[in-house]
Amino acid sequence: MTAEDTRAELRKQIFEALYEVAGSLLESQDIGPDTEFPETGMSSIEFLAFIEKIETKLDVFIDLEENQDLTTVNKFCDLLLEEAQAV
Amino acid sequence: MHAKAFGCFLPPFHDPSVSPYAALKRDIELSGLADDLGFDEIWLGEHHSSGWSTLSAPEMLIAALARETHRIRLATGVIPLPYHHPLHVAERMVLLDHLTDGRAILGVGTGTYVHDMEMIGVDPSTLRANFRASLDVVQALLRGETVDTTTPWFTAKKAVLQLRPLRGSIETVVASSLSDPAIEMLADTATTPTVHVVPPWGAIRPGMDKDPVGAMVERVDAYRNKSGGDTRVRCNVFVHVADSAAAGIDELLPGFSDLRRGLYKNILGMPIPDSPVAHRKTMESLVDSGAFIVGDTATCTRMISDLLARLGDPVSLNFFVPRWVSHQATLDQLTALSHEVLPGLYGALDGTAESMKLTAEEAARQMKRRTEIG
Repeated sequence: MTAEDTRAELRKQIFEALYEVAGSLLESQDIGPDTEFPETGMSSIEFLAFIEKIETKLDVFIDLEENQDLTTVNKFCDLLLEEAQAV
Repeated sequence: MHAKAFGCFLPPFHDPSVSPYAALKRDIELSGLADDLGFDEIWLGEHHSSGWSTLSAPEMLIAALARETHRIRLATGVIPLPYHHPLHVAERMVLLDHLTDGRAILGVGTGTYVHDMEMIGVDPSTLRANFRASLDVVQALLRGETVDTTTPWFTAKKAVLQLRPLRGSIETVVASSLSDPAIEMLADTATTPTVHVVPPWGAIRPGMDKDPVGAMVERVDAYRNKSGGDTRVRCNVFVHVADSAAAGIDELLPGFSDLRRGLYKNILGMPIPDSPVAHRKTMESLVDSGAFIVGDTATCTRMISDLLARLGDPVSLNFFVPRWVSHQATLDQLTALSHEVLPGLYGALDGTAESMKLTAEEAARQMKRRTEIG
């Protein structure tokens, strides 16, 4: 699997997690990998549920204290790929 | 009541692996110990669902404790007013006031578990309005008034209490966020607040709130400014005495994680991260911020003293007892608080310390005199 394939697969899983907690957001607007979550009207509780879904799905812990700029799908991809490489 | 008082807040949840019968016996044993140890008050919560929160009627437990205890004040912590007709709330409390020889405190709130509400047909969107309507009627009844009112929720027709509070009144305390509207409501109803430093699950994620104590103190200051400053504030805080903060965190983590996972995440659906590192980081950040006070006796005493100074008087500090450690260890914690921490806050150790210092200063001379006694 190439690096680009890995990123694409990860992005797909993150979108799935997003759909599970905030499906109505995805249905009502065009959210891309670089769309800023605050601009979509995502609530803080939906954001927390979204992170928790990613953690459960991928068996990781995302430290929000260390990573306060996780505002797009691509930023989540970058962080998770970076952490996977570190491991 | 003293300017500074100390008590316990028992949330209604119990480890579901312990039989409900045993859990109730433990509550009674713990309450009796708190009475023996000299705590001023104990709060007993009410919930109706989830499998963890099995104490559904704190008034009934208080009735049992009336005969088991002698001096501690007994508080409903709290009765969700929108779940009960206000006449029943007032009647039960005034009866409890008699059964406890005037030691009952009426703690009230809006309710929190939506499943509790749905089981009895309470619409969550009506909570605030119904809470306020009920509180006004409960207060009026406790003042001895006859109430005639019809609200969208309940009717009270020539409603009056047959019994009256034993000593003229029953203290009424509201579980409050101390938001601006909540402060207005407290002032309007002449009630006082009880606040948690942090909620029973601590925080959803580590570091979400950098300074929960500062935020709470700010709200308490706003309340005191509005109320004139001489009304009592009750504050629920978790304290754990251990050899060190690190050792305490290790002791607490299994129970803390079980509650967050078992009740708040798996049953109530809160987005709490469930990895061991997430629970640990959450607790560490709560300890670092002072929201949880964990450490040796001197550390706990100093941090509680600092918190009391920030809250001002009059204040009741109620130790949150979530039973994150075994039952026996929970009883030992209450004993340690009473025997080792509270004396330092009252200055109870100052006399012995001063006597040791003064005696030691004269020891050499006095030893010489002793030899002269023959």
